[in-house]
Amino acid sequence: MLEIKGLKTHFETYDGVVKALDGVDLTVEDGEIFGLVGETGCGKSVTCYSVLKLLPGTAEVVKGSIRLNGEDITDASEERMRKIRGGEIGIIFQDPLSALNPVMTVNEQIGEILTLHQDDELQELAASRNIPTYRSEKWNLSPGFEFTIMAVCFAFLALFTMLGQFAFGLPFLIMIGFFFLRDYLQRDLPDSALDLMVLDALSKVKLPNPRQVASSYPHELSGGMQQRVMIAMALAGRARMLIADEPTTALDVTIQAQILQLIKDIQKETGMSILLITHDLGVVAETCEKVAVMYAGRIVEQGPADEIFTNPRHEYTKALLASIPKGGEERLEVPDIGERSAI
Amino acid sequence: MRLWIYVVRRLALTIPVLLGVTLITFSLSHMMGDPLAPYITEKTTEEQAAALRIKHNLDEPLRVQYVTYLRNIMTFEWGFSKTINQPVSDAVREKFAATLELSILAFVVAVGTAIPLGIFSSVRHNRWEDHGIRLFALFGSAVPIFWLALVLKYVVSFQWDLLPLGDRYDPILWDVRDPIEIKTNFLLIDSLAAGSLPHFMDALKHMILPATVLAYGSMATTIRLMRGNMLDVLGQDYIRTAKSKGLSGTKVTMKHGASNAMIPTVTLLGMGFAGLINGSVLTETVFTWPGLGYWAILAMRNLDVSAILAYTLFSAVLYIFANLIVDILYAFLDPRVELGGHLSVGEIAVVSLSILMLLVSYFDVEAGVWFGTGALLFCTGFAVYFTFTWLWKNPGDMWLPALFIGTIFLVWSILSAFFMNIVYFSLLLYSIYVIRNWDDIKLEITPKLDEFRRAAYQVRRNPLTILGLWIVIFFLAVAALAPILAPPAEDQRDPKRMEEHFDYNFDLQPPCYFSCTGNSGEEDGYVLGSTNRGYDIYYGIVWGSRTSLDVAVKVVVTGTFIAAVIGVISGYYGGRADDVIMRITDVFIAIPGLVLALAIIAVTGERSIEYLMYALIIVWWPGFTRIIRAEALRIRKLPYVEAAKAAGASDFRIIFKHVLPNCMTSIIVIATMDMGGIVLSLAGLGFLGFGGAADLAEWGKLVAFGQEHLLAGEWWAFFFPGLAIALWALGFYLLGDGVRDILDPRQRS
Repeated sequence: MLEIKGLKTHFETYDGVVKALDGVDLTVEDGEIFGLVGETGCGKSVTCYSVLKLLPGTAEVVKGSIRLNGEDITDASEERMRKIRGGEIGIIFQDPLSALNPVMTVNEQIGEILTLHQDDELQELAASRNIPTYRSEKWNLSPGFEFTIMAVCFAFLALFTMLGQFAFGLPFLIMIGFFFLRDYLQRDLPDSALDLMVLDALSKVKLPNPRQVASSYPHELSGGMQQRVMIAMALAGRARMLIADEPTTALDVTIQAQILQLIKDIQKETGMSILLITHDLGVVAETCEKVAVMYAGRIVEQGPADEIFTNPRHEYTKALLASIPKGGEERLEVPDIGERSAI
Repeated sequence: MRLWIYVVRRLALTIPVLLGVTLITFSLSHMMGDPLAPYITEKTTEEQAAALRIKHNLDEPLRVQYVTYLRNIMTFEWGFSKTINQPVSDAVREKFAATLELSILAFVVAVGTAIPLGIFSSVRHNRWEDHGIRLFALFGSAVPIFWLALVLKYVVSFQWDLLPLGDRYDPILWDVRDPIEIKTNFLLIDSLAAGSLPHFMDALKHMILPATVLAYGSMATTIRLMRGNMLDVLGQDYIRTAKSKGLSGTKVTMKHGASNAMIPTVTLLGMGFAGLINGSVLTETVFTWPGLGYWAILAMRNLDVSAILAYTLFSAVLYIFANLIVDILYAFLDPRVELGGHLSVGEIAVVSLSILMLLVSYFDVEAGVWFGTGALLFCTGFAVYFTFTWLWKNPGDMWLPALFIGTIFLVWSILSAFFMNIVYFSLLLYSIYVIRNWDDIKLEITPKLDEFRRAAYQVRRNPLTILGLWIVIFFLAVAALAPILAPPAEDQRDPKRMEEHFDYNFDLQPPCYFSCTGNSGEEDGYVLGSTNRGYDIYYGIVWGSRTSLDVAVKVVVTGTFIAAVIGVISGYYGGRADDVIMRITDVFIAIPGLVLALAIIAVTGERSIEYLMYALIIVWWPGFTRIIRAEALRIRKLPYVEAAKAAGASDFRIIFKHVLPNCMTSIIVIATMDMGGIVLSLAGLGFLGFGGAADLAEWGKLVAFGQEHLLAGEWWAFFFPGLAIALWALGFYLLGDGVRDILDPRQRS
C-alpha cells in the first residue's frame, strides 16, 4: 500500500541543516495496522508530513521515494497530491481542538471533504432520493458575515432615511428583504444529500446524537467527541489508508481506549490500512500487527509486533522496552546511545 | 448570556464614560478662559455683560454650572460658535455631513483594498511581494498625513492642474450657474438626486484627493493588521487539517485562513475609525474641506470654546458608538466568544447612578446638583472603605499603594521637570550596581549574548529591519552631531531657535544643494532652501531632530513607566480597581488623541514645547496601559503563573518575576513604534500651529511654513521637513516591526 524508501528530509535552521529524516524505509501492507514508535523528536510526524507534502517551508525532501499503491508520488504534482490528501490518505492529528477550524461548524468541515472527494456519490444520492445536493453550502454565508452585511444594510438604510433620501436606502431594504425571504423559503427544506452523508459519517464513528454534533462548533464538544469528529473527517473521503498521528496523546486514558477501539473496529469493517504513529508502546502492543521503531531519523528495527516485544534485537529497542514502567519498579530513562542526527 | 443582554450592558456602560467625557470637556472649558467671551463684543456694556452672565448661569457655583452644562447637552443647547457665527448644534449638523461623506468614501476604499493586500502579503510571506506591501503599509503609517496631502496637492492640483485645489465644490457651478437643491448635504447624493452629472463629477473631483490621503493611513493600518492576523492563522493546526483534506491552496487561504483572520481585523476597524477622525482634522485643514475637523481647527486657533467642546464631545460619542458596534459585531463573528463578562455590583451601581444623575438633572438642575454631590460622596466613601478594609486584611500588600504613590510622584516629577534628574540618578545607581556585581552579571549575560547573536542573525535576514536600523542610527547621529552639521550663528543664544531674517532677500530661497555660494544661513547659502522670514530649512531639520528626539524619548519613557505600572497591576489583580482604571482609560481614549492634545494646549495657552509634551503624555498613556493590561490579563491565566502561586510566591514576586518580564516584548515593541508615532503627533500639532515657540526648530512647523507658499510653487519649504518626519517614523516603525519578529519566541524556527 505505502512504501517509503531511503527518505531524507532536512530542515534549514539558524543552527544549520537539521537532518530530521536520515534514510527512512518502511512498508505498510494492505489492510494492516502498522505502528511507528519512537521518542519525541525522532521524526515520526515528519515522516507522515513528508508523505502528504505538508511540510513547513523550511523543510525539504532531499532524497528517497514514496510509493502509494505502486504509484510513485515523490514528485507528484500539487493537483495529484490534492486528490491523494483526504481522497486516498486520510489523516488524524494529535490535538483535535486546534486541528479543527474554530469558526466553522462540524457540518461545514466534514461537508467540505465530502464535496471534494465524494461529489459523484453526493449527486447520485441527491438524484435517487430527489433532494438538493448541497443546499447549505449554496445559500448561507457564515452567520457572522451575514450579520455584518445586515448591519451595514441597516446602517445605510437608517442613514438615508434620516437624510430624507429614502430612495437611496431602497436597495439596502431590498437586500434585507432578500435575506428574510431566503430564510422564509428555506425554513424547513428536507436534508440535503450533503447533510445526510455528514450525519452518516458521524454515526459511523459512533457519535451519539449526530444531528446535534453536526450543527455545533468544535469548542462546544468534549475532547473525545472532537477526536471522533476528526476521525469521521478523515474517513469521509473513503480513503484506503489512514495516518493517525498520535491520535490519543491529547486525551485522557479512558477516552484513549475508546478511540483506539474505534480505530480497530473501523479497520476491521473497512479493511483499510492504518499507519499509527505514537510514542506509547502500550498503544502499539494493543493495536498494531507490525511495528517499526524509529530513532534519530532512522528506522532501527521493523517487524511483527509480537516479535519485537518479545525478542528485540536493536540496542535502542531494548532500551525503549526497558523504560516501560512496570508495577512497583522505578521508571528508567531512555539511555542515549549516540548516533543522533548530526547538526 | 443572551445577545441582547450583552448589548444593553455595553450600552449602559457607555453612559458613565460619556459622563466622564463631559467632565473633561467641562473642566477644559473653565480653564480655557471666559466662557462668556463669544457673546461679548466691543459694544457690550458692563450691565449687559452682567445680565448675560446671569442668563448663562455663570454666576452660579461650579457644580451648578456643570449640571446646567449636562442639561444643555441633553437639550441640544450647545452654545454659539463665534468663528462661524452660528449656533453650534446647527453647525455640527451641517459640517458632520461633509466629514461623514469623506470618511465613508475613504473607509470603504481603505478596507476594500487593504484586506486583499494583507492576505496576499501573508501568503507571500518573506518574499519580495511581502516586503513591498509591508513597506507600502509602513510608509502609509509613517508618512505625516498633512505632508502627503500637501505633496499630492502640489503635484496633482498645482503642477498638473488635474484636480481642484481644495473645497467641496465649485462655487460658480453650484451657487451661480446651476444651483440644485441641497437636501442631505452629502453632495454626491444630492447631485444624484437632482440627476445632474456635472454636479456629481464636480463633487467627486473635489473628493478624490482628500479621500485618497485619508484612506492611505487607514489602509496602512488595516494591511498590517490583516497581514499579522493572517500569518498567525496560517500557522495554526487547522490550516494543516484543511490542507490534508485536499483543498486547493487558494481555498485553504480564503476559506480557512482569511475568514478566521478577518475576525480580529474587523474588531480593530473601530480604532481605524478613530484614526479617520484624527486624520480628517489634518486633511480637511490642508484641503480647506468645510467639515468638522477644519471647523475645529479654526475654533482652536481662535479659542472658540463652545465649538471646541462640542467637537470634542461629538467625536468622543462617535468613537464610543463605533467601538460599541464593533464589539457587538465581534460577538457575532466569533462563535467562541462568551458573551459573559461579570456584571459586578459596583458596575450596576455606577451605571444606575449615572443614569439617575442624568435623569434628575434633565428635570431639575437644583436636584441634580444635590444628587450628583451625594452620589460622588457615596462612591468615594465606598472606595476608601474598601481600600482600607482590604489593606487591613492583607498587610503584605502595602507595597501596592506605595507603588501607586510612587507613580503619582513620578507623574508630578514629570510635570515639574524634575523627572530627568530621577532618570540620571537611577542610571548612576544602576551603573554602580553593575560595576560592583560585575562578576555575577557577567555570568548572567553570557546566555543573553547568545540570544543577542540569534537576534542579530534574524535582523540580517530581514532587509527591512536593517533599513529601519540604519534610518534610526542616521537620525540619532544627526541629532548628536547637530552643532557640527549646522553650526549656529555666533550671536544665537539658543541653538534650537532658528534665526529669523527681516531682509526680503533671505525669504523663500530655492535650495542650492551642493553648489551654495554663501555660508549656510546666508543669502545664496540655503542648502535646502529657506522659508519666508528667512528660516534655514536645513538648519531647522538638523536641529529639529533634537527637538523630536527630546520629546519622543521623554514622552515614551514616562508614558511607558506609567502604563507598565498601572497596566500590569490592573491586569494582574483585575476586579474593582481594574474596572475603575479601565473606565478612566475609556474616557481618555474616547476623545481622539490629536483633538485632546489640541484642546489641552489650547486651554493652557502656553505654546511651549513642555506643555506639548504633557499633552502628548496625557493622550498616550491610556492606550498603552490598555495593551499592557490585556497582556497581563492573558499572562496571569497561564499555567506558570498558577504554578508560581502554588509554590507560594507572593504577588509582588509574581508580578515582577513572571508577569512583567513576559510583557516586556510588547512593551519594547510598542515603545519603539511609538518613538515614531509621537513624533508624528508632535509634527501634526506643530503643523496646526501649536508647536512650541514660533522660531523653535520643529519639523511640523516648517511644513506649515511651506504650506503658506505652496501656491507660489515653493515646494522645498514643505517637502524636505515632511520627508524628515516620514523617514523618522518609518525608521522606528520598521525597527519596531523587526523587533517584534525577533523577540516573539514563536517566530523562531
